[in-house]
Amino acid sequence: MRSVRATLTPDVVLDAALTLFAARGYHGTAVSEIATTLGVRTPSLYNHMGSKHELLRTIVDGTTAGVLADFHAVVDPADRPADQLRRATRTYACRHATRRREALVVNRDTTSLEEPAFGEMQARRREHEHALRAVITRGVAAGEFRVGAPALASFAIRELCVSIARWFTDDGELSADAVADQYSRFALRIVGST
Amino acid sequence: MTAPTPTGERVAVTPAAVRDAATTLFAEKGYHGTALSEVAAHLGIRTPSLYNHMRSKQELLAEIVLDTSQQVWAEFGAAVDGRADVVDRLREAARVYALRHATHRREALIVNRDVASLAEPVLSQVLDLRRRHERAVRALIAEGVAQGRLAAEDPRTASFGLLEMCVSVARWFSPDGALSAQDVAEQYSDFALRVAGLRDPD
Repeated sequence: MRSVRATLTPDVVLDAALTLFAARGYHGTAVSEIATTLGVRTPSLYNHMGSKHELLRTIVDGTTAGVLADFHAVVDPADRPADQLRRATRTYACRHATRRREALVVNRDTTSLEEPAFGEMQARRREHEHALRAVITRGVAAGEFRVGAPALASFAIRELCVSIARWFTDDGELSADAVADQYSRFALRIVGST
Repeated sequence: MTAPTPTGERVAVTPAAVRDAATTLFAEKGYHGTALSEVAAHLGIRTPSLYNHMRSKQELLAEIVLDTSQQVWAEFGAAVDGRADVVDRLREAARVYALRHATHRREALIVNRDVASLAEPVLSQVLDLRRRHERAVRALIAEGVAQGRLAAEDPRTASFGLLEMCVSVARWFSPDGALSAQDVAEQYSDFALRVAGLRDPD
């Protein structure tokens, strides 16, 4: 009998886990369901993965590291704060329209992470939040932004972008790029960019 | 009715107490991640006794989510009622929505995570209430744009954005933090107007 199933690799297992975690949550997903999705038996699956927790950890690590890498790739320290904020929020918004599964898992299931993974995830998140807040603070100091509470504004802007993952669909009226453009303008308005 | 806790202390077990315990646990672990035996343990009673005060885990979820959705819609109505100015209406609508997400964090987390676990007909009722609320906010933005008060290019994206921004307050707000729920709600209502294109709400 010839097998028609895709070659099982750690990446294929991770992708199937990501889809199920996003749809049902980490707690709502059994390893046996990942196996069923891939058309294999559960014991075979363990040749390609560690534990369910390790799958979650890999997803969260990759996503939070990706967010930081995106930020540093687009934000030029020599730019004006308005340009930095536009680029930083544009890429963050775009990620949440195009990588919705990752965003849903990271924003819902991170409480299921054990230490040290949980602490590392929080540290990377904090680093991104502080980097964004620093842009806002510089903009306020330079007289380019007008907002009373930079910390609150940075929370609001980040969560605004995160929320895209909860409603965006590929077959909607707006493309991911169009939504990211609009959201980067929302961010500039929130800080009172002049 | 009372039940002995593990320490022997007796607490009143009522349908409201069961619902409160379920709200805490669903918010913390998710609907799927919470077993009724844990709700019972939280109340210091045995699982079979729990059935004197509720029918099913699904019914607990349905009550929590439907009540919350109805309250959101009622609060919106009260916020816009009697306010003539469209910017004032939008500001107050955003303020009460943000305030609710600071003061009812457990409910907000459940509504935003576990709605997909609801059975019909409650699922449709909840989605309908949510749609009505979003459309009403969108209509306020469109009205503000028509009057030249707001500059949102796309009222739909702006209403999604500002509502979800308010929702997110539930994810980070802490009553022990530097800002009160009222302070945060005030700031967020300003942010909401800015998202809708009011350049200088002050």
